[in-house]
Amino acid sequence: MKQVFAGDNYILFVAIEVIMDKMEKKFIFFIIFMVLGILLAVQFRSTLYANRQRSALELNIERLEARINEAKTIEAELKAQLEENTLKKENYLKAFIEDKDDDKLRREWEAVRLIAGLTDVKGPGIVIKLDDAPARLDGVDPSQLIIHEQDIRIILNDLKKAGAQAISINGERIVAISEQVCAGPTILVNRNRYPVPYIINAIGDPDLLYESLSRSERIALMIEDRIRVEIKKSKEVIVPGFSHSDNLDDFISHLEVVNYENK
Amino acid sequence: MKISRNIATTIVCIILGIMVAWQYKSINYNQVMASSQNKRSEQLMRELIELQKINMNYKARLDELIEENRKYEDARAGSDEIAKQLKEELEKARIFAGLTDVKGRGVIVTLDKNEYVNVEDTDILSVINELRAAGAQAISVNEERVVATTEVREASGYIMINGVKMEAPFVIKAISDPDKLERALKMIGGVVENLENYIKVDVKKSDNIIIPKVRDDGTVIKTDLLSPATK
Repeated sequence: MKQVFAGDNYILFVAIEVIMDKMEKKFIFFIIFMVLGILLAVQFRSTLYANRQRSALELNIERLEARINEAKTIEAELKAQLEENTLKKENYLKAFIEDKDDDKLRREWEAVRLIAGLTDVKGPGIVIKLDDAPARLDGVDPSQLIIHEQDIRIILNDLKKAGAQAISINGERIVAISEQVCAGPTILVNRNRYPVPYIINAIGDPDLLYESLSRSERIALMIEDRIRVEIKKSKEVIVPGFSHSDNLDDFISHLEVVNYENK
Repeated sequence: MKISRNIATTIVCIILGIMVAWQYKSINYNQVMASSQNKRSEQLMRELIELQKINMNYKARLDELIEENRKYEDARAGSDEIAKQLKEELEKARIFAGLTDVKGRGVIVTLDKNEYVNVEDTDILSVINELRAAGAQAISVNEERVVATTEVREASGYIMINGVKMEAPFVIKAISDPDKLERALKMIGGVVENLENYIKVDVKKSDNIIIPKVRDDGTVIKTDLLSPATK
């Protein structure tokens, strides 16, 4: 009786175990598939969301690029119109001077504008072309391979020492207040930015200018650092007038003329 | 039966593993992409704003010019208006060229040697350039006006500017917004900090700076090689 009972119990126990075992396996599968499903759903949503977000960003970038292009076209248009109107104004003033037949006034007008660097000029001189070193060199600090603002400043100073009468960098006339600031592979001159290569035009005695540069320590160093330096003498170099000549007010706004006669 | 079940479990687990890995990678990639695109769009935004500012400036100038030109056209007969304008333009060009004494607010920078090191030409050039970059409108060194053709020449023991021999201390005056000039000079890692490592530098703001005109004896300004060029 006891045995039977025990046997019954045993059978029951085994039966329960079998059922549990099956349930457990099913249960495990159930959990695995549930996780799988959730993951799938999450992944799907996340991908969808990222795609939507990315395309919104892309759209935004495209729109910005379009607006920048538009602004650039407007800028070019405005620049052209400004130039045209500046010329017109100069012609009015010139015509007025001619009409007045005032030789002294005319000469003063021309001389002052020439000295101020407001007019395009030409004359004998040299052309210098500077470009960064052609490639990286192993074991060489890359900052040695590019042109720095000190280089430009010292070259300009060398040219002035040799008596240069008019200088431009990439078409920007160097006037009394012209800054030269380098940022990365570009240079800021007269508030305008230019990439390499830098082309410096200088009017003066070509031989003197050339000699001054060929004796320049800085240029020797630059050539040693494999920066590309090209110097050419020329019978006629053109140096344009100051690019903001129509807007001088901006450059003299803090200046008050001292008039000793009134004192 | 058991084998097939095991195989099924294995396959499911492999798929699960691949999916987790893939999801991780895809989310990572999305984040990198999004952040780089965010940066790009920020950069574009800045560029656009700058361009718009420039254009607004141009537009204002253009309107002014057109208005001026209209006046000239109207005043063709009665030429007082043009005569006045001409005088103004001439005066502006003279100020710009450095042909007049000027005064205004600005800074005075003094560079002096110490016991060991003398002031070099490049020190003076870098201060002048920094002042220009900060918008200086007139600059002089020891009362010599700095113009377009001004050179800074170093010769044994002294320095020549506009052909005038001078020695330390060098007093550099500049007229413009004093705060802006001072800030540019004293920037961290800027010119003053650099020079202070080996020479004496002093920067002082001043409300009354007078800068003389360029010497008018024909040695500083030469134009004999320049002839007008037409575009």
